[in-house]
Amino acid sequence: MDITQQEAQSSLETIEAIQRQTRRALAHGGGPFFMIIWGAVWLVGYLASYFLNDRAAGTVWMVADAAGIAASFLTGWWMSRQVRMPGHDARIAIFWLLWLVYAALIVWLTESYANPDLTGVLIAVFAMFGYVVMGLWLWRPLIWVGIGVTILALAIYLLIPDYADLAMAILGGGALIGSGVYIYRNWR
Amino acid sequence: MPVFDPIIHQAVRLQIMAALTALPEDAQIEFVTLRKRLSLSDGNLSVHLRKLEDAGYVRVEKAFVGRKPRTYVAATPQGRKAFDEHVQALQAIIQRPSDSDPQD
Repeated sequence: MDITQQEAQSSLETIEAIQRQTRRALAHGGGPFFMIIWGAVWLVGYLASYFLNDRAAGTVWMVADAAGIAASFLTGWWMSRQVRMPGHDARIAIFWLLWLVYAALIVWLTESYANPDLTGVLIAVFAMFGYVVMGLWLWRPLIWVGIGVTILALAIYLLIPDYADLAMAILGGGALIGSGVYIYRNWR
Repeated sequence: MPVFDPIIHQAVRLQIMAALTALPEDAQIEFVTLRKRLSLSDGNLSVHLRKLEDAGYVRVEKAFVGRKPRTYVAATPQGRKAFDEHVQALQAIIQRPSDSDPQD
């Protein structure tokens, strides 16, 4: 078969374009979408913790978490309809269900003894542990997002505890949303 | 030496293999999703998938999601290897000194 350099170049460009579009749309279990969803939940929840009283903030957190879980479930369902990963799908769903149970246990165990800021940081760090596990299973960049936001959350709690909720909203939530949008736009 | 693969080089099959190899190794893409992503008709995609399946480059599986039958497609390890070699062969053509001596 005779192939000219122009044809070869054109074929390589086609391959690159299709692979980029496919990865952006389908691959890696929709990681950026989950980052954007939970970044938005953090933004709303931590802003509520900073600006509202504990009771009102608790309500906002419950509504935001429920919305985040529903959006994640729909996103996961939508992604798994298009691309399935038989070795991973059930394991990932079970992991996040167990994660929710353990997160609820952390909140229940610490709410009587720890201040609300510490509970908030614990949950944030625990959430990032989930990202690291997903990174190990699915898609390596999630490891670095998880570790980065964990360090950020600890630094905020230790260095500016009075503004921890505000900082977690803007920096923690913002980091998740920003990373999700950046990765989505630059996926290759 | 990279191997130029005439089965993969056909325009539609090149697109199919490019899309399948962009996914993780154990991932399977749903037929309709693949068809929409590549803007192909059912018949066109089916014909080319069959050729790739005959060559051992893709695996086609049918499954039920709820009560609805769905078809999932994945690149096989053999298909991924052939595709990688084909890409290397294309790159080798580009790196040739001149275009006056086309590859056989």
